[in-house]
Amino acid sequence: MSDWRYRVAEHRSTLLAALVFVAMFAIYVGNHSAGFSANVVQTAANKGVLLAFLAIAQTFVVLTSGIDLSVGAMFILTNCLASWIVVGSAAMTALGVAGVLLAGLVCGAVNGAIVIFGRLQPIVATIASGAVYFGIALALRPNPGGDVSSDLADMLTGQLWGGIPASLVVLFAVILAIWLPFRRSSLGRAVYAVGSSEVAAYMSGVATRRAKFAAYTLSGLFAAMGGLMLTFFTYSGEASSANAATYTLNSIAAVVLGGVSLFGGTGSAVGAIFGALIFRTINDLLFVFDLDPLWQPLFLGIVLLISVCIGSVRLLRIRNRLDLFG
Amino acid sequence: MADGYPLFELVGIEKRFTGTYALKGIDLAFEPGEVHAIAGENGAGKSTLIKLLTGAHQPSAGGLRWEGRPVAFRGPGDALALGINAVHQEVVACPHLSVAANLYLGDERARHGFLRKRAMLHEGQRLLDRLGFAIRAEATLGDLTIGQQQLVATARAAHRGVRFLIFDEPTGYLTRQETEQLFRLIRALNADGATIVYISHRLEEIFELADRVTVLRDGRLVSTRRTAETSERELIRDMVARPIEELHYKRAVPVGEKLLETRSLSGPGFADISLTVRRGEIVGLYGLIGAGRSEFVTTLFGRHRSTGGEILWQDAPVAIRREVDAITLGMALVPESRRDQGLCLNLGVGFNLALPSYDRLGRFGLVDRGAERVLARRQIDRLNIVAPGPGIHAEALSGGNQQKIVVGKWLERGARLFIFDEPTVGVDVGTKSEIYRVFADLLDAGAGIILISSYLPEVYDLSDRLVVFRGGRTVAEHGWKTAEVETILTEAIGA
Repeated sequence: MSDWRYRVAEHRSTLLAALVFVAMFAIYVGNHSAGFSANVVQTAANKGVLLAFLAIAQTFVVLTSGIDLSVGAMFILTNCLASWIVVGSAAMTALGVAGVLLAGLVCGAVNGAIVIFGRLQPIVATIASGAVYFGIALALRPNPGGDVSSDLADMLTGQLWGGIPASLVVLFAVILAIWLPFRRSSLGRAVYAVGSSEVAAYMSGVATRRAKFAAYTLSGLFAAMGGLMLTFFTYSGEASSANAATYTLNSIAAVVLGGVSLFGGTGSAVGAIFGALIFRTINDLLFVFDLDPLWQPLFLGIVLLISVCIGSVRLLRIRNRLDLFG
Repeated sequence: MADGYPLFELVGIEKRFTGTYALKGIDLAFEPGEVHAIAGENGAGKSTLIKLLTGAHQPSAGGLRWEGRPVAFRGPGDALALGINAVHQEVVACPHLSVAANLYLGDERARHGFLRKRAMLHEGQRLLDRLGFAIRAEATLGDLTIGQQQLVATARAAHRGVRFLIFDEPTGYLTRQETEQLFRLIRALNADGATIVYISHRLEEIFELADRVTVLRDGRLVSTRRTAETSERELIRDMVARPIEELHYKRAVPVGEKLLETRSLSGPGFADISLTVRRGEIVGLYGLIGAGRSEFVTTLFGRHRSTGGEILWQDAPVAIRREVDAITLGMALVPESRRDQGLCLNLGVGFNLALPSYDRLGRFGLVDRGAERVLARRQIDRLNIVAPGPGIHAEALSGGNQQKIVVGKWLERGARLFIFDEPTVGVDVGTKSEIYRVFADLLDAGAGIILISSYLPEVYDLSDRLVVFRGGRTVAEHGWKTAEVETILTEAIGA
């Protein structure tokens, strides 16, 4: 029996994303004037981790073959909220962090409820809810500002022993504490089954609604984690509509780069993280190779197109177009 | 015009799908101006034949000749260009567009690239009026009845000036009046010189319309006769003649306690159905498509609400409102389209086998992977599923093995009554016998089976009791091989 081969095939896209990232990052530090130093890694990590959290958020929903266009708005909303309440004594700060995460959970749960009970398509439901969340963010922070517990912020954005970036450790801890148990849980199986074939899952007695609800809720939670980290990096809150839009779209790009199928049912958050890191590294590469920043969007777009094409090579192999529908 | 040649001819046609023959050794010539009917049971190869004629499929071997010259279609466009058109049973059209827009779909009237909407509306309405259809050209297609949509599809084919027109079971959804309108149209088209291919189960329609009739069975051509020189009896005999291979396993299993009983159960699409299934027996439901069998079992499964009568499970009345209720009782539905309704194709075999049972695998919501592996191994061994390992995706397996996965997941969940909806559609001979062996194993294990099949030899050989459905009602019930095959087919057709 050679079951391990299928295990490898199962994680092929994740492994591929990891390899691509390592190669790109090696090129990056190889050409960076400061070389492979703790500071270079820390800066890169901090930039990558924000998108990584949003990519994980997006992964949960995409696995159910849905899409969450409100992740950027939830990210910004929790950022603005954190700049108000994650301050003061240690106890107050802890309470504030809990409050921000709870806000993310609530936003995600509302999305889930609209999609499931309102029977709206995810794309429409989350565009609308995202606009509402961004509106709340604007009400919270009409102008950029606010504050955040600098002790906590410095701890989570600095370096640990040996120059390991703390933000990466946070990301790693979250994966260990939430993603891995999720993958092993019956809830996780339900999410994959719903994304693969909702009818088959439903007819097998799987609680399909619960699975979808959980996916949207977890999406909100991870967007809030991203929002918290953003606050720790900037020490402030800002209701930036540009950021909300960019991070939403980039989270989808990261998910695709990380091998999570937009048709649902395949992929993992680990792949999505590497997708996010790849996406950030492309930016950095353009920087070290001194490419005009004006060309960046064009170049990013081309990379994205190519990677999506690689992902859909399967379709090219289908000889008869009727097979696509049959 | 090349006189003396058949208009359209199939020479030694074969069609294989991943090693399975859908059609084999077909030689058939359509004479110009004839109405040629094609009859055969489900799975006889009729729909594959249509797809070859219209260019949607390409033959694996053999060739087509149009007016004596060899032709090869790369796609439906090539066939359309010759004037070959098909009206399908399931309406293929755009329900959100107007009737006129559908009439001219892909063939729009335009000037300088802009649609001439008004002209299309006028011409479309004139066409509909001329054909005698009471349909408004500006109506939205989706608002019409299925029958009316069928007429629109026919009108669309007619206005393109077709030379070769194929009707695939066109009257399935039509009222008597609509059927007559359609027949008038077919005769008019035929009088204008179009060659007609008419595919139907309904023998009386064939005798009413056709000049000649060809019978297909198991992908082979059995006979081509002139309708004037044959009888319904003869055609039925051609359709059901025994297959050569003896595939069907029938072991004597003691019949046990009652599992399921319905008393005068009525619901959408069926009425007054009373039947009983016991442990160790197969109850076959035979009938034509649309006879109400699928509606009956999906209602048993809580998909539709019953409107009358009652359901008893092991002699106790039960209310089944949702799928989960039926599953909890111990029923399992193996759907006809198992690929998209029964399986998560891009997930592993083990995953699929464990899918209904995850709530009892492990604690605190965490899946015990050891137990999951044991479960997968157990069913793979028990059902002899040929898979390199539980991690391989379900889509990589053969049809028979996929069917076994669907059975296996329900066995694991403790199901005792299995409902198979057309379990052998589109599977090859070897897989068929594997599936029949699964039936035998299930009966040995004390399960009961409801077998829905439109393939008469199958239900005939396998069913301990055979219930014949027609028009949403049961018209007869027979013991194992106590009736002639011809009798049963006649009951189902209502001839």
